[in-house]
Amino acid sequence: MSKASGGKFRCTQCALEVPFEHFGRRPPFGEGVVFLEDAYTRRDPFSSKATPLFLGGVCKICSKTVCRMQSCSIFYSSRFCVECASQNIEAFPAEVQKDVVIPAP
Amino acid sequence: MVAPFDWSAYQATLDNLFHREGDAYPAGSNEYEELKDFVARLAKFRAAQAKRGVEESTSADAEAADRLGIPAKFDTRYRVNVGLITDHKRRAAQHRGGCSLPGERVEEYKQMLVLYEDFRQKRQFAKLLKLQTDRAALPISSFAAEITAAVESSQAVVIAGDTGCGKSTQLPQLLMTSGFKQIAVTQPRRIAAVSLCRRVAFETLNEYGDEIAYKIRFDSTRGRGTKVVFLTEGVLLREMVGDPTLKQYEVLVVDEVHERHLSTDLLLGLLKGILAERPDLRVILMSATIDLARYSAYFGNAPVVQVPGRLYPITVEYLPQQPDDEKAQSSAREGGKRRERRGAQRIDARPYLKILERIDQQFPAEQRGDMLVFLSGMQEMTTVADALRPYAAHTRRWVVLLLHSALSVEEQDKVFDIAPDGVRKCVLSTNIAETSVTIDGIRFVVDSGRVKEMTHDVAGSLTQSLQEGWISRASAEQRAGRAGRTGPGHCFRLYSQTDFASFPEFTTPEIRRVGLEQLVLQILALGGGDPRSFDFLDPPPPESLEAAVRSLVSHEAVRAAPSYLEGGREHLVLTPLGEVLSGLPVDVPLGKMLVLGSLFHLSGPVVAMAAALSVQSPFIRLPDGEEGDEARVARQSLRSEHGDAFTLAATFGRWIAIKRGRGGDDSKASGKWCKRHGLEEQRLYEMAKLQRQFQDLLTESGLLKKARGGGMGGGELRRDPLKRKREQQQRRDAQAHLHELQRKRDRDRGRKVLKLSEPLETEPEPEPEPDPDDGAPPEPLDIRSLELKLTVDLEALAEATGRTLGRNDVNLLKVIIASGLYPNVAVPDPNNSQRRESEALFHTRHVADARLHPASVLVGAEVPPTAREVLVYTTLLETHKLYVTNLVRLPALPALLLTGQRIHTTPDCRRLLVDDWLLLRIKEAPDVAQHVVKTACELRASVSKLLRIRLRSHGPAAKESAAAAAAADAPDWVQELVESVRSDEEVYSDDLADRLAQLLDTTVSYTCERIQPQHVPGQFARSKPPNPDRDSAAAPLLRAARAALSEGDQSAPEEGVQVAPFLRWGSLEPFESPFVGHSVHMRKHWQCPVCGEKLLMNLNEIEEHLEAHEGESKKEMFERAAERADHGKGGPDGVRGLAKQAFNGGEESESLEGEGVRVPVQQAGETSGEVENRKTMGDDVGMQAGSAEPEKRETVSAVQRKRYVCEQCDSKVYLFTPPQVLQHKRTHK
Ligand SMILES: [Zn+2]
Ligand SMILES: [Zn+2]
Repeated sequence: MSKASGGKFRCTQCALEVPFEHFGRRPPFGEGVVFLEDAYTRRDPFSSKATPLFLGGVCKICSKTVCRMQSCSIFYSSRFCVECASQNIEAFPAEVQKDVVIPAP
Repeated sequence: MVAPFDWSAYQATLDNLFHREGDAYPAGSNEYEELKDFVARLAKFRAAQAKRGVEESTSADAEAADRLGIPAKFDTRYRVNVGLITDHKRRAAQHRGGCSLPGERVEEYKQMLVLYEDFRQKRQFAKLLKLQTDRAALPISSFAAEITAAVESSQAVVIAGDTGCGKSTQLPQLLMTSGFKQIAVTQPRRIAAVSLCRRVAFETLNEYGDEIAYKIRFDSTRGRGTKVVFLTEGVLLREMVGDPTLKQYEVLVVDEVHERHLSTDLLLGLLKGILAERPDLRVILMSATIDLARYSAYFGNAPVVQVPGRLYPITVEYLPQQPDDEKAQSSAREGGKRRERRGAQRIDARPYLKILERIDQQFPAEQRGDMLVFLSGMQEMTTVADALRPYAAHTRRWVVLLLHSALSVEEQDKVFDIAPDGVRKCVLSTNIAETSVTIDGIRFVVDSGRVKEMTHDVAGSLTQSLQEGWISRASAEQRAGRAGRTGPGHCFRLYSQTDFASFPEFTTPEIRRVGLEQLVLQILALGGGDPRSFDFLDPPPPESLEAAVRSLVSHEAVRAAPSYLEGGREHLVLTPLGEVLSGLPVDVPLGKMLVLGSLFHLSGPVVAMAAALSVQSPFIRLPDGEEGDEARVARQSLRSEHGDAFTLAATFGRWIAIKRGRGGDDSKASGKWCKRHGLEEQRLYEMAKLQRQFQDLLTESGLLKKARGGGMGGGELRRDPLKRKREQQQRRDAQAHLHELQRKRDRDRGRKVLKLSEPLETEPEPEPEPDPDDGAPPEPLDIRSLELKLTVDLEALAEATGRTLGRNDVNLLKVIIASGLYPNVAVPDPNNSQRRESEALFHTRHVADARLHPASVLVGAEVPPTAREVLVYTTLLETHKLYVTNLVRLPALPALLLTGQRIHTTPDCRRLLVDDWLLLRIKEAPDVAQHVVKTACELRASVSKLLRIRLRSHGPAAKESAAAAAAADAPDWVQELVESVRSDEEVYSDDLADRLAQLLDTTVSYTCERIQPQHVPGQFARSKPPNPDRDSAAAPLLRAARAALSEGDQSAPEEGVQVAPFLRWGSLEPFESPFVGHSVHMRKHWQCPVCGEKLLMNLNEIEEHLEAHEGESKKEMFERAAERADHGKGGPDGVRGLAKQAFNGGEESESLEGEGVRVPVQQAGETSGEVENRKTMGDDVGMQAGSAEPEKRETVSAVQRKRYVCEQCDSKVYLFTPPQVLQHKRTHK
């Protein structure tokens, strides 16, 4: 699934808002960089060459859009929002569990 | 103990497999270098980990893991959401003889690449987050609510904030979030508009769209989606011509109001007028915290939001450069400013070097912090840079960079680059870095306290000069503030505290310093009413406004028309020329050149010259000695003895020819050519762009016909609308393509780490010059070259600029240039032959010690400027010496006759006074002199007429009819008719062109000299008409003596006939005063020409002596007169013809009211009666008396006087000159 689009990426957890350029696994910019999830990407504004910058993805469980900040989501073979990750924390290996942020109720 | 694997030993193999051009991290890229570090550290970490023997765990709840599709056994690879597509397998297979690295190591490396990419992704994302939090932390962010409320409640708002409060970048974003969609932000400078646009686009992460755009003189990135556009004040003013109430915008932000440029003040005045008509429009003034109450009051007590700056403490240290008292005195005397060129020396670079050394001693290299040095101009910057660079190179602790507005955007970008660790940037800048350009990380500021400003040399005159002076206290504070933006800073002031106290509080607004011609034109064009009653924030000095109006009137750009609405008061109206000039974004002189160039079918060279005179010279200052010799020799082929404009145009033409000549890789060829000739290619690119813009402007105003292929001056072919549309579309596509490329360039550039071996900035960026044998390395995209091709029709340009100029062309071009640049005229000092060339002096009307600018081609000319030549120049440059720049030489007599604004002649036309400072003596018979004057006058009248007819027929109405005919798809013959109606004057102008050109080759013999202002009044014929019945022979002498005694007599000359606005015939005293330079007190030898006695007298005694002669009887006088009477040639007929020509050339319907008499032409011919000759004291009556050369006196003309019987004074008989007749008649009215 790959769809070229644009607009504002908005994280449902932290409300970060950033314009994105592409949603999908293979952004059209950058040489050879691919993502293992459906990714919101834009060209990296800090790089001297065209290369994709990953902003966030979609929670595998609840399908919410979340940014990559650890306080918003975690990636372990798929993207999980902190809500879903903390609810299913026992499903992750111990190394991952310690990285899961438990959101305040 | 497991040693970490040494990947670097296999770098060549890895490079071949993973790091080729086009791969994610090509060898040599920033990422590649970083990756090498990353790999080494990772190898170490893994070795350590292997030693510890870490065990991997599994999920606590295998079932849950399975349900969610989570791999139960932990692998760190699952944490990574990114992958890389690489080609290493195929490459390894291709590599015969196998790979030096085992297959599993290659795969391990690939995995490390992926980990690196993951690391990079996280870090870049963190940067992005920081960008957003930084914005929120800016002082202005906490004022967002207050600002939004103010903008809602009031049409005009003033936002004041000091450096670092973030207003320029944040306000547009705030307005966007408030829902405004059409926001314009003006900037006084082009660079600021571009750099702010980039900054805001970056901060809003919109750099790939067109939401944030800029629009400057040469370039616009604006598109359909644009919400915020940063533009220069000039560009907005031009938009106002077509859109007077700025309907296209919802909000107008005027930034840097405190800089008070001419255009700022004009813009504010116009906006103030618009607000009432546009209740929905918002105007926001942004200023440093200076003079706020004034702006608020001007906009009807607009609310003021003050945002505190974010400044760290700054230590200020005064390091005066000369004994305090001496300098304090001098600056107090001059009110803290200007006029000190005689004392001013070339800048001393040592103090700057000392500060560098001190910083190196006091501050450890690890403590970051760059230096910003404020200097007055380019030359100072170069001098200081030359002095600092050896030290910088030796210590390897500094990188010296330059920043000024003439640099290209790319060159300017360099100052934003980061210095390597342990190295500081030292940015030498003009006052551009004071407010417009902000460089992060500045810790040290060195303030020279000096600034160069364009200034009116003499109040009310239109001669502009670039003068150096002290800055204002407000400027000094701004400069110091630049050190405290990122941490506590230091400011070194190279002046004393006393000096500082004597500085003026604020910088003088431009409107009070500079020529106001463009301002007057723009106010008139924008419907701002009479400039003299315009509601200015700060009214300009009335005399400077009047001078501008006078100059525009003499350029025939503005005329005074009686206004019936205003109770018969005269008001100012733009002439068709003025209308065209107001739309050209250039100074009036250049504008006039462009217009005349189009009329005379010389637009190719004139446009090139005007473009050349508008940009900085492409000629680099060559190093002395052998190093520069090669370029010096090469340049010889570009030189033109006619002057700088010709040389520049020729250079441009040659460059264009090279650009066109080659196919794809012209940038290499032209780059080489430029290097060989010591030329800065960027300037030539700028010229090309300007050239194109001028051409477009002229086409738009109907002066140039759009010829096939966008060329100019050639024959015209009507094109069908469809084809035109298609071409327009093609051009739009090309533009879009270009903008895409520009954006790519901006992206690609990024922020780089400076290299210590950075080339000298004063030199042009050396073009990449790969060895031709060195395979074919990928050519870096030369965007300038591409841009040139997309925007300029090289074919047509080459044709227009490459044409060889004949003698007539050169002459005509000179006339065109002089018509534009007058009164910027310089004449050589008579004693120049005794001086070294570099010391040769030139006089302008107000300055007696100007030199030729060293960069001029007239320096080292085969024939130096002679006494019979004048030089026209663009600028009087005042640095440590005074220079005239951009020179073109012309023969004095025709040049002054064709351009002088107020020419006075003697009745025989053998002596001419031009604009009260240049005296021409024609050493020919009176009829020859009269013929020259007559011809020049006729030609000028014809040019005026041509201008009026052509511009009127190309004015709005005519354009409309042509456009309507084209739009209505009228049959060809109708369109041709419209065309032919417009081109009536073609033949006329060709003939006129030839005659103008030929006048410059006149063989008439003459001299040209400068006269002192105090001797000017003595030149004029006295207003009291001589009365031959009562006048004695001594009378004229007595008048001359009295004139010399009362030097201050400024009464306007009333003798003579105002033949044309610029020419008054017969107004000079035919009898040349012998008392020039004769002292009132000192006795000198003098022979009385009346009695022949040789006397030793001072001026008072001479007067007494002559008074005695007055007592002589009338009979005695007539006897003397009869002795010397002779017949002169020429006479009233000639004059009558002259007057008639000039008036007919002018427009009868327009009133012609100079300061002189209004003369109905018919009356001049009415005089009749026998001609009687009256002796005049000959021209050469001097100290040595008139008897010296009787033969020569034969050729001296007599004034033509006629018997005149006046019926109104009881048929009294007078002997009158024709002007006296008219004057006498008027006394009876
Ligand atoms: Zn988030
Ligand atoms: Zn979720």
